[in-house]
Amino acid sequence: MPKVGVEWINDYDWLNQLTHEHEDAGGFFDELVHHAGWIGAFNWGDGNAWEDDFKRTDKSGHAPDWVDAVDFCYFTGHGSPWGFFFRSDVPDDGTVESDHLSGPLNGDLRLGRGNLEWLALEVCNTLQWEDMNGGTTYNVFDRWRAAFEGMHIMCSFTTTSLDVATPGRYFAAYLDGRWPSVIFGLPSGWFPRIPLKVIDSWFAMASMTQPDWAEAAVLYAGKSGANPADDYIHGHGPVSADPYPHTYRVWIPHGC
Amino acid sequence: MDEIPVFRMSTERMKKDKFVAIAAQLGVRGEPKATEEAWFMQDKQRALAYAMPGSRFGGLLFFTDAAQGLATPVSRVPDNKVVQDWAGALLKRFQLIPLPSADEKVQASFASRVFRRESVVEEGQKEAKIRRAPLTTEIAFDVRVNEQHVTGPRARVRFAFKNPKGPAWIHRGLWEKLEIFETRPLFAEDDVYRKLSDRISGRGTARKVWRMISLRLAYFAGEFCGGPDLLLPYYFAEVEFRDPANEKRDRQGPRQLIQLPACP
Repeated sequence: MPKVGVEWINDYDWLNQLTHEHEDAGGFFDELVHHAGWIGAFNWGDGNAWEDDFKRTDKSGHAPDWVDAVDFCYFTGHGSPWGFFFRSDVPDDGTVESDHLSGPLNGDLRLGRGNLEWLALEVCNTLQWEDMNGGTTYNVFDRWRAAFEGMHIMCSFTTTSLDVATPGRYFAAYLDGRWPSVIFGLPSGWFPRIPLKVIDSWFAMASMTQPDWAEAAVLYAGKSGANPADDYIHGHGPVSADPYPHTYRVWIPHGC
Repeated sequence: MDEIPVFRMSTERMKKDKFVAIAAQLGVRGEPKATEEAWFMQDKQRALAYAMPGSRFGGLLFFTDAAQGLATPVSRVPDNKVVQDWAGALLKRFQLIPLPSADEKVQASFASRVFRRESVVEEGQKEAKIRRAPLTTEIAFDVRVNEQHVTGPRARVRFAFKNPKGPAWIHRGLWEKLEIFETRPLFAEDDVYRKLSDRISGRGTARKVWRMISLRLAYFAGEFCGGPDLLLPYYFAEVEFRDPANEKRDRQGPRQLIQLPACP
């Protein structure tokens, strides 16, 4: 059975507090566990959500035990082009950093050697096209390409996005095909499920929750014989082989 | 103090004949199903749904052709004119753009923009090359009332095409009728900044060091939550916080989009 894990932060001790992240991540978790037959591996929030759960082992993290042990991981909280953020008083520190923040290949994420296929970061700016650090401009590939060690797709935003309760539930409902019930209120027994692809689901979710100047985005890796662009989630359609070692990366921005 | 109108939205209680005809135009072959909340029709790959008045997304018409992935590259996307004509014909035939209001104090506009969406592909490892790949031709509408921007899932019209035969995806959320509910005082931008400052100030060093990137006023047509279906104005403030690990401040810090009421 596929597994899902979610982490969320409302109660930041060093950034502005957020309000709806528990409902956002909880909605994603509940939909896949209660309506798609997935195993709920973890739902960690605030002081129980740790950067360490995402961090690679050669930087003393425990990603193989947590994020890389599930098929789909969903995180919601604060973000920037250089990473995404936790409380400062949890292991290991407050930032899952990208490459080129503290060193060319010192990023925390190296995912997919274990189980993980999809990582959704419902945070601001993480997939922004480019930003400067120390006078040098780095694009989204520079910052995140090395994170893909079998992981298929990262979903996030290039811009800021609103702190709202529903993205996780709507995203999951598009993924498992139950969106006519969740979005439109139809009895779920009335229709065969019509799941959307992972990338289409992310864009559809953004369209249902964000203002039109917000821009969702995805980044995926591929190789000959492994193209995750058309991935569905497990149990709802075809899933590509793990694209590792990848020979290309693709970034798609999508205005809401 | 300036004033701003608050509008009441009425959305269409779509008739079966109209829903079935839209489905036929989009190539959806199936039996229509209805509740008080929605119309729905699907076949093996396509689905069409319409949210009725009183439901969370009242006025939303959503279509997807699940076989045509938005991220799947195509060798050629449809010409802009083909897309504009196709979408324009559908919207006109089924009156999916609201008619002008009889009240001259309610002036809505719907300006369309056609554009090509591309992915950016990085190939190779050490000497990577970057190229663009076409994905879709899309049409999006800029919705305004009395020249004020209107956004949100229930004030949005977007079509995405991967071939000239028809769309892969439609999100059309609009009212049928818009009327002035009442006029309210508009909070000044300075007051909004002060409220924002009060809200952000708190424990922690980073929260005390922030700057406003932008502040925009827009109506937001969000989910209907009961009561009169009001179209309310909001300020949307984009703020950036100082990252304590970045003493030189030579890279972008964490940002947040905060929605604040623009009137009482």
